[in-house]
Amino acid sequence: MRRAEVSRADFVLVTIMAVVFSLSTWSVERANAYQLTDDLEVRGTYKMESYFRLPDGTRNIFNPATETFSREHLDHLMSQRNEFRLDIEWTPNTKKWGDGIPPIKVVAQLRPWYDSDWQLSSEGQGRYQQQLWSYWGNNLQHPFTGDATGNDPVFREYYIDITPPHFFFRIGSQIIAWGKSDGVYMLDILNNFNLRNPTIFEEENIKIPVWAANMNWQPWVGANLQLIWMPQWFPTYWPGLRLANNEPVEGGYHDWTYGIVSDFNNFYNGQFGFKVPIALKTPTIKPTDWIGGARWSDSVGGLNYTLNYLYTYTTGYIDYPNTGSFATATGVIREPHRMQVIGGSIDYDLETGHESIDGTVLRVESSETVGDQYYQGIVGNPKYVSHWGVLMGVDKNVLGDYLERPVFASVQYWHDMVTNQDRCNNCGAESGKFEDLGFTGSEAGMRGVYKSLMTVFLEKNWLEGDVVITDFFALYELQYHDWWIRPKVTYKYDDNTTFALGFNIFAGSPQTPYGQFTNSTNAFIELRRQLF
Amino acid sequence: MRRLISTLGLAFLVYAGSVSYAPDTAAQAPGATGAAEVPKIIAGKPYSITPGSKPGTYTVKWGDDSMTWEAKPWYENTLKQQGPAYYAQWASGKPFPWDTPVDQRDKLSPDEIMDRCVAWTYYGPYYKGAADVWNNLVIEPNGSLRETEHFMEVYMAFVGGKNQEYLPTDQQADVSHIYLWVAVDPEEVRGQSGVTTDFYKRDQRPQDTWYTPTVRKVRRLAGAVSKQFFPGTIVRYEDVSHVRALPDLDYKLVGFELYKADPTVHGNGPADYPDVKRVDGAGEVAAILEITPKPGVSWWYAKRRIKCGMESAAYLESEEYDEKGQAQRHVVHAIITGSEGKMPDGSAAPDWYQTWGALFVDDKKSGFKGDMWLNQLQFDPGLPTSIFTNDTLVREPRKLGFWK
Repeated sequence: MRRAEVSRADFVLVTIMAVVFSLSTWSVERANAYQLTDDLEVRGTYKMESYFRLPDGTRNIFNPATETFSREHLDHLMSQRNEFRLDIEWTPNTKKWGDGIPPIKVVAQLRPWYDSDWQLSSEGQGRYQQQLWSYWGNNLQHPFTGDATGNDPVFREYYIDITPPHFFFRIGSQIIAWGKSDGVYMLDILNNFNLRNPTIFEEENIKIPVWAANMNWQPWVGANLQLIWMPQWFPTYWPGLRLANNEPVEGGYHDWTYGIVSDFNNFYNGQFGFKVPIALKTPTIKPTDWIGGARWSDSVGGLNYTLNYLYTYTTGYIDYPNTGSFATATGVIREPHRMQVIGGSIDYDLETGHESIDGTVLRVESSETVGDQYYQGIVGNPKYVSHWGVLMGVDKNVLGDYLERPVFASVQYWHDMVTNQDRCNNCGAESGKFEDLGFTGSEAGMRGVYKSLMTVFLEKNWLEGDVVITDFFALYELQYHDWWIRPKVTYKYDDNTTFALGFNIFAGSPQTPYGQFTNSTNAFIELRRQLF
Repeated sequence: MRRLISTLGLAFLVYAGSVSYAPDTAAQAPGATGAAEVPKIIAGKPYSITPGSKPGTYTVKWGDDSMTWEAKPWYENTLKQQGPAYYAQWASGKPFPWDTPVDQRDKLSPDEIMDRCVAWTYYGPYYKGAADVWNNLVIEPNGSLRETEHFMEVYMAFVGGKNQEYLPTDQQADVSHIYLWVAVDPEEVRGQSGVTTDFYKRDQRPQDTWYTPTVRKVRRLAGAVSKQFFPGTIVRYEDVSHVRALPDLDYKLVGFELYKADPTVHGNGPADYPDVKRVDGAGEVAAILEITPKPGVSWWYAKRRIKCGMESAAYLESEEYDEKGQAQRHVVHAIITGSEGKMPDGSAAPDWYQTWGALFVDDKKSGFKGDMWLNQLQFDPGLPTSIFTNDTLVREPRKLGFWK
C-alpha cells in the first residue's frame, strides 16, 4: 500500500514538475500570459525552501515498539520543500447580469507541495518516512484535505467576495487576520497554524485556512463592523499530533517536535511500561460547535482602534486524562476546550513637532482569554485558566539622515499573565506553574503566572529599485533567557525571480521554548519564480 | 456712393483693427480651432507666439528670450494642432488651481506655487476623484531593463470643501487629499497596497498605511517617509504622494524662464517613449522654485530647482543637487490631460483636466533611470465613499473598476 502511495505521489509530482517546467519555459516569453480573459486571471508561482541544520548533534528518541530510548544522529537536511502555487481569480462584469448586482470576485488558490527530505536523507527525521512522509512530506496523497484535519491541503483558499455598497462579504475558505502584533497572537487566532516549521514568517503560508462567512458593514467612512461565523474548527497542527490506532504515531521524530509534545507522546507510547490510548474528539459542524466573532473598528482623533470578541476553542487540542490526573490515567481524551477572547487594539502616529519623535507609530493590543487550558504542575493536568495578554509595539524609520534608504525598526514587548486559575491538588510539585512548550519533565520547562518577551525587527532595502532586502529579527524571553535570532537577505534577480538566504539561531536551556531548538539552528535558502 | 465708400472704408478699418487687436487664431493654430487667448504679459514681460519660418513651427518670445516650437511625435493631438497656444487654455476661466489670473500668478507665495504645481495638478480638485494604472520601469546604466512594476492608483482632493462624504467626520476640515495605491505585479509585491492621507496644515506630515498580503494586515507606516524611496522605485514619496510643500523644506521663488524642454534631456527627446502621449510645457514661461532643507534638517538633496508652468501651473522639470553642488538627479515631468482619459460614459474627459502623467528620472549618481507613466485613466469613476479605508486594501483589488 505504501509503495503504491509513493508511486502515485511520484507520478503526480512528476506530472506537476513537467507541467511547471513546460509552462515556465513557455511563459518566460509571455510575462503577461496570465490574463486568460478580461475576467479571468491565472498566476503560477514556484517556491523552493531548504533548511540545513548547522550543529552536528544527536537526540534521544523513544521507540514505542521496544519502549526504550536510544541516541541517534541528527540529520543536516531538515527540509527540501517544493511548492507550486496556482492562483485563479475571476472578476465577472456583474453589470451585464443586471442592475443592482454588486461586484463579485471568486478566488481559488491551489498549492501542491512536496518535501524531498525523506528521499534525500536517511538520518534524523529522514529515517521515519513511514511515520512522517504521508503528512509532512507532501499533500498529493490527500489533495483535498492534506490530512484528516485539512492542515495543508492542495486547495487552500477558495472564496467569493461580494461587495454591495457599504458592505463586504467573503464566504469560503480563507485567512482572516486580526490584531496589530507581529509574531504574537492574542487576537489573531481565527486561523490556527501549521507548525511544520515555526520559524516561517509568512503567515499566509502557515496559517490554516478556515471556512467562514466574513461579513462587514461600513456604517460610515472609516468604521467597520465585522461579524465572523465559522462552522468548523481547525486546530493548530504541530508535529507529533497525529494518531494511528489511538497512539501517537509520530513520537518525537519530526525535527520541529516541541519538547512537551514528545514528552507526552513518549508517556502515551509506553515510557513507563504501559501504553495510554488517546481518543480524539473534534468539534463537529453542528450549530452547538460553531465559532463566532465580532470586531468593531473606527478612528477617533487620529487614533485607530478595534474592539474584538471571539467565541471559539483553545487553539489546539487539549489532552485530558480519563481519571482526572496523568498520574493515574489509563487513557486520554483529546479535544479542545471552549474559550472566549475579549480585547482590542490601537495604533497611533506621533506628531509632536520633534523630529526625533515624529513619525513614530505606537501599537497596543490586549486581550483577556477566558476558558483556556494550561498544563499545571509537574504532573501536567490540564486546568482552566484565564489570562491577560498585552503587546506594546513601537515602529520608526531610523538612520534616514545617514542612509539613502533608512532602516525600518520595530520593537515589541509582550506579556501573558494568568489572571484566574483552578487550584490543583493533584498536579504534583510546582503546582503554581505551568508546563511550557519545551517541557520534558522538570521545572526548567515551566513558566509562572507571568511570562514576557521582547522582539526587535529591522529591515532595510538596498540598491536602486530595492533589489536587495535585508532583515533581522531577534526575540528574547525575559524569564527563560532564551533567544531566537533570524537574519535574512533577499535578492530580486529579476521581475520574476527572487533568492533568499537566512539563518535561524537558537540559544537557551534545553527545556525553554526557543532554547529547545538549539540543535535545530539552521541556514535556509529560498527560491521563488513566477511562472505565469 | 460716398456714403457707401465711407461705410465700406469704416468696415475695412474695423476689420483691419479686429485683425490687429483680436487674437490671431489663424496664426496661433493653423488649420485648427479652439486655442484660447494667449496672455500678452507673463511674469512681467511681454509674451507672444507667432508662426515660425517652417510650417508647423512657432516662434515663442518672452522678453528678450525666444525659442522655436516644433511638435514632438509623442505630443497629445490637441497640442500638436494648437501649438504652444495650447497652454493658454489654463491661463484664465478655469477653476482652482488656475483661478488666479495669469498676470497675478507670479505674486503667489512659493508654497502656493509649489502646491499648485505638483499636488493640484497631480490630484485635481475639479473632478470627483480619478483612477489609473501606472508602470514603473527601472533601467540600468547600460540601458537594460532591470525591473517592471505596475501599480493601480485611486485619488481624490478635498480642496474647497469638496467630496467631504469620502472623509470621516473628524477629518473633514483637515484632509487635503488622499491617495491609494495597489501593487499589481510582479508577484513578490502583488497585493501590497497603502493609503496616503495629506493634510492642509503645513506642519502636519502625511500619514501612510501599508497592507502586506503575507500577513493580511494593514499597519500604520512609521512616518517621516517623504524623503524615502517609494517602494520598488527610484523616486521618493515626495515625488509621488507627499507632493505639497513639506514642513521640512523652505521654498523660494528665484526667477522665471522661457521653458524650452531641452530635447537632450531624458524624457524630452523625440524618441523617448513615442507611444506615451503627453504634454511637456515647451513654450511656457516657467517659475523656478528653489527648495532647500530647513536648518538642522537632513534631506536627500541639498538643493532642488523645480520649474512650474505659469499657464498650466504644472510641474515641468526638476534638478536636485548635493551639498557640493553636484547634480544628483534630473527629472522631466509631462502632463497627461483629460483627452487621454475617460469619463464614466466612455467619452474623453475635458482636455484641460490634468493628471500627474509621466515622470522620467535620471539618477546622475547611480546612472539608473526610472520611467513611469499612467494609462487606463478614468475621471469621476464613481468611487464608493468607503474606498479609502483599510477594508479596500484587505480585499486585495486587482484591476481598475473593482469598486463597480
